[in-house]
Amino acid sequence: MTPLAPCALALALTALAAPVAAQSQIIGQFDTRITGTVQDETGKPLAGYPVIITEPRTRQNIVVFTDKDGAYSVEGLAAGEYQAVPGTDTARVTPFSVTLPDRRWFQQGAKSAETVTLPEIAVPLGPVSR
Amino acid sequence: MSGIIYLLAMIGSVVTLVGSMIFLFKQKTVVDQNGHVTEVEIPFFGKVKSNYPSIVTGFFGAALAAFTMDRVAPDIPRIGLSASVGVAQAANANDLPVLVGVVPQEYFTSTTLDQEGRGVLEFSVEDNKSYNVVVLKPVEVTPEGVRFLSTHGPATIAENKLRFEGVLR
Repeated sequence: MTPLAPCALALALTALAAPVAAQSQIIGQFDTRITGTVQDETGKPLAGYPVIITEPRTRQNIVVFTDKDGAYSVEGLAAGEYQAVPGTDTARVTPFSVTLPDRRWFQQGAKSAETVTLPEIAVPLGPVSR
Repeated sequence: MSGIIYLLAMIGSVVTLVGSMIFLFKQKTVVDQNGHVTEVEIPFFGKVKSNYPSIVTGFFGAALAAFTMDRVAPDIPRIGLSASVGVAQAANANDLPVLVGVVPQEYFTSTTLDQEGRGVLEFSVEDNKSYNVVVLKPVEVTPEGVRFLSTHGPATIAENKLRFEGVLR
């Protein structure tokens, strides 16, 4: 056995002891923040409106609701390509991409997620047609 | 298992791992009375010939450490969440209960219904807990907000899986 072999074995054994990786999800501990607003056709903010954030590649999605000011936000999205889809008008898709901020190792814990603001969604009033 | 058993298992795994590393670095070999290299019997694998039994010891230590780390629940920080609700019309105010649930973001997702009006969503949730399922389907956007069809109820065990079936009304 070469002198380096024990070191390699030690590394391999340490890797064995690592916890099993968590299930893949589009929401995680990522330093990202997406915001947007929803209003009706008269320009009034819509509260409690569902917006579906979808990753087309994996078809995973999450639903976020607007607050009393018609604003929604998503924190912790993984890097990737996404679509914001109004819950009552799924034909109107807003594509957007998420990139992780380039931080130094000593900034990793900083609460300073860069916010990406999506275009405003205007929703027609009335029964949902689809 | 209790915390003490976890602690003992972790200490044992560390001692085993460190000990096996020391023996590896010292190139200690173990031979029997006849001078033959030791054979180590591993459960399910059978006998393994090796002049480095410490490799096998290290393997067991790593497995013990992995088992312990996998079973110990992480210390998750908690924060208060205050949900304030009210009724829009005072006529609806009475002393009957208001039902409030808090759903982690990763568990609030959507699907589409097929031609027969049915849909299924699969989740992976923590075991040994009870879950209530709430399903909403938007049907109308009004100036006051969105109206939903809804259904809700407990997820119950059936065929080794938590299941919920509901009809939106």
